[in-house]
Amino acid sequence: MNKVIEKLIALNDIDAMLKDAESEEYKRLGFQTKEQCIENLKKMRDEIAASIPKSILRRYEKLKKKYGRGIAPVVNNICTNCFMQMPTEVASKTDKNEKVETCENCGIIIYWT
Amino acid sequence: MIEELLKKDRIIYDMKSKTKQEALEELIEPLKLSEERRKVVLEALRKREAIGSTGIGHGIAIPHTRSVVLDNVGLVVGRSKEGVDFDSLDGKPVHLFFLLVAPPNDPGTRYLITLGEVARMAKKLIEKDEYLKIDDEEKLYKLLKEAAGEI
Repeated sequence: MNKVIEKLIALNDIDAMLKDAESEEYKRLGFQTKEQCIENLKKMRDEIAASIPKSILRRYEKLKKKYGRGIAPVVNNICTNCFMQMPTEVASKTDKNEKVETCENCGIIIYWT
Repeated sequence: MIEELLKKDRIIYDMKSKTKQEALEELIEPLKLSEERRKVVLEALRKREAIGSTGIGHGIAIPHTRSVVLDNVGLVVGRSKEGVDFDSLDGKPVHLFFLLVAPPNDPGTRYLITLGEVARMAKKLIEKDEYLKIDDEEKLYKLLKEAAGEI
């Protein structure tokens, strides 16, 4: 798999974790998080973000603002962000996950499962 | 929701793990993820543990994470008779694990609701204090189902 896609997946997972850890609902469940460890996780996020090409990172952040995530898996040739079927010519590609691609319908960065 | 997630083939009746790392690896197995996805989810679980243990005390841990590589919410229950050092809040070994994983996007915060249900179910099981004594797999499954049904 393309290294940038791997990093975008890691970034998305950290973003989801940080969002949960900082939500009141999550705190009410009684799971303890350590402030210093969250800061370390944020640092890790920044390091991963810094290693992603700027134009792709900008796109990721813009998508995250719009959809709540910057990358979405394609399952059974369906984008799980907009639930549109991938066109046959895209779905039949042999170089899936080898470069950063976006859904032609909603624009989200896609990851093929 | 939690009753639907509780599946026989996702219950480990006798965990072999001795360490936190081993426990996470053992718990993830019943999800039958591809090697690529397994690595990503395991890494997310490790990162989650790094910001604070999900060992909530009284012998229970609820490791959980969201990951973009997951299509569905998944629950794995694991029982360890010997117990695993999981850096729990009360410092005691963990005997009952609930691994909850989910995709990142979740309209209606279903994931957090399910996490809350798992925590309540876990507490009910502690009250009953039977889960460690049962040797029969079917009986343990029934006990878990009953606890889930009471949520």
